[in-house]
Amino acid sequence: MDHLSELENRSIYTIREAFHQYPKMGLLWSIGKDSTVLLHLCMKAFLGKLPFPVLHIDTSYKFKQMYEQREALAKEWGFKVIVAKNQQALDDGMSPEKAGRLACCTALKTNALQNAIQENGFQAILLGIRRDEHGIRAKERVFSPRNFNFQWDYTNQPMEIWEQYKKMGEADHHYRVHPILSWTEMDIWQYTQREKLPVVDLYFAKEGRRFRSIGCERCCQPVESTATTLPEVLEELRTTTTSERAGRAQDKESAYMMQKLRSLGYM
Amino acid sequence: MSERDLTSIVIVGHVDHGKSTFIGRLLYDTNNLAPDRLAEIKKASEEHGRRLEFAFVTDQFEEEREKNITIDTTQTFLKIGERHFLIIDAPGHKEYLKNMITGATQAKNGIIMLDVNEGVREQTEKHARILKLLGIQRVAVFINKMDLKDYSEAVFNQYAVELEKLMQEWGIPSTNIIPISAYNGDNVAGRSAKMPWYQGPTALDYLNACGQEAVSQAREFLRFPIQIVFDLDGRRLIMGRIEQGAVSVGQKLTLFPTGRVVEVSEVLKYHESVRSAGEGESIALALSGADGFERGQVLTDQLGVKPAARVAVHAFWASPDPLMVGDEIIVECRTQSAPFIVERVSDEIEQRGISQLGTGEVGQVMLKPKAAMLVDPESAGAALSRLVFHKNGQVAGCGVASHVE
Repeated sequence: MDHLSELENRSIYTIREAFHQYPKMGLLWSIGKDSTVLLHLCMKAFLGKLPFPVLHIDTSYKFKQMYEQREALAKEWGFKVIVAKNQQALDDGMSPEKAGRLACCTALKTNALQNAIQENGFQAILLGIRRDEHGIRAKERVFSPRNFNFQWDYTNQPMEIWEQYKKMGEADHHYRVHPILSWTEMDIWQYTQREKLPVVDLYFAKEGRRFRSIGCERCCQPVESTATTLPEVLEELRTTTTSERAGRAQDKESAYMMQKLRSLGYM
Repeated sequence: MSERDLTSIVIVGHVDHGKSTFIGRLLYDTNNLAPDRLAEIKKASEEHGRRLEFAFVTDQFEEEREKNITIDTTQTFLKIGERHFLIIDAPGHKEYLKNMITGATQAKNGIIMLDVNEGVREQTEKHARILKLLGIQRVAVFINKMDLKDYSEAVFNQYAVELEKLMQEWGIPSTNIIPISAYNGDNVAGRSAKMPWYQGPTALDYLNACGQEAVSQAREFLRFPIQIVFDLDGRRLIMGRIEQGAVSVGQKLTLFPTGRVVEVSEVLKYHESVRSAGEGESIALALSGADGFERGQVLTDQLGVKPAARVAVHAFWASPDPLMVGDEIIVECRTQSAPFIVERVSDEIEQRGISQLGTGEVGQVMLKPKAAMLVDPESAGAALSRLVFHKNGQVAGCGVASHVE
């Protein structure tokens, strides 16, 4: 079995394990390349009919192209999207400029996600994070418990052996399940090409720059690139020396920013 | 070999013997450290008042950097030439053994890191025994911090002799014993000028000699543990992954443990209906009959399969409470799950009966199931030979079935 098929089959196994353990589950879809791969894997796992809803955390600061993609794909693939917003914070004028990035990410992403988990009674959330994106994410488990304060107890994570995972315990509020944790950026793009998955055109170069990682418009910087097509992106990744999240401001505002964000419940 | 084949290697050993430093240095010397990541590490090293701390590449938690230890396992990808490696850092502290095993179960090759000033310590031996239990194919020992012993050939040789003997005792076929200085990069990616007396492979040579993920041997019989029974548009589908063997349309299969015979009417993958599927594939089956299926049953093409009456297990225990004779634990084997009673515990080396297996210990355990489970003995590398133990709602240990009655 080739490498991509092996990853695909293992991820489908994980998705089905998550659904067995936690039937009240949601899939977090950011409309980026990784969670679109995850969405496709979920469609495959359940033969085209998702038995759980897709959740989009909308900060209202996302790129226009992402909103368009959300509507187009939901219609084409036939799934329901729950759009979750922290409306209170938005009404109060929350923005990275006003409150700083840690506070903004926490209010508009983390807190919005927590409210959505609470309102929908989710026992688990599927997320498309990967170990090679960031050193803190590299420490994650496939089934990662969050406590009643939604915190990640990263200094005391459960054992994971041979695809067997800790079950919901009294101190656990919900689980973050990461089916594509061991995929690399290269795997994602090769799989996107193989499966002919749609991607937002922000990933392709315009006027010498493209986005390698997308999120909120104000906190994402494009990188220099001449890759205007998917094969050119793959070629660029073979030789690049910059890291994937170099253009993501919230990771770098201060030391241990990602650790702080994630310990509070960030993705 | 296709471009994305991956070689996985776990680095184990006692605390502070230089595992994380080695990984950082290896990434640095093989151009696998992006400039922005290197800049972050330089800055953090300065803030902690240290010279460039290679361990910070994988030690990303503030707590890890403050205390200068690795708390949790990390996986790092690197590309050397055309080959792709997954390097797994495993913490060396006794209290983080559960994190060590989480990392180690995901590797096919191993490196035992040894500080030349300290020699073999408690966790060195424990980790070595765990690698043996997990069936790690290839293990090397790196004698680290040679710079602190003036790169002495005599000191190295002394350790090499001792280790050959110990590796034999631990049941690990010795491969390479390599003198390095992880911090200075001696014999890491390039040959050290400080140790002209050493002509053997460098660390990087060892990495390149490590095999890819083992191509599993074709095994005779089908093992398809049912994962989910799923209704799709009024049709009952049986979902799961083929752990070994193959399935094809029209084939007659036996459902374990009921013994009922069913026929495969359709093999489904996403929108496709396929004629057959093989090992490792996650599929959905439509079978003759819709009722009487549940998770944990196993479909097989083998006749006369019996539930295990007793299972002898080469086991590792990590729970804070010891595993005692008479204890009841939950055993999981793929999607199967059942309570088992601990009948006997014996030590690994002399097989003497003992009353318990302590935290972090490896030993032999005899288990008696209280419900039907299909367990295969390890011999053929069978998928249903790997058991995971749960106690008090926690993953508590694991083992490999060496013998099934």
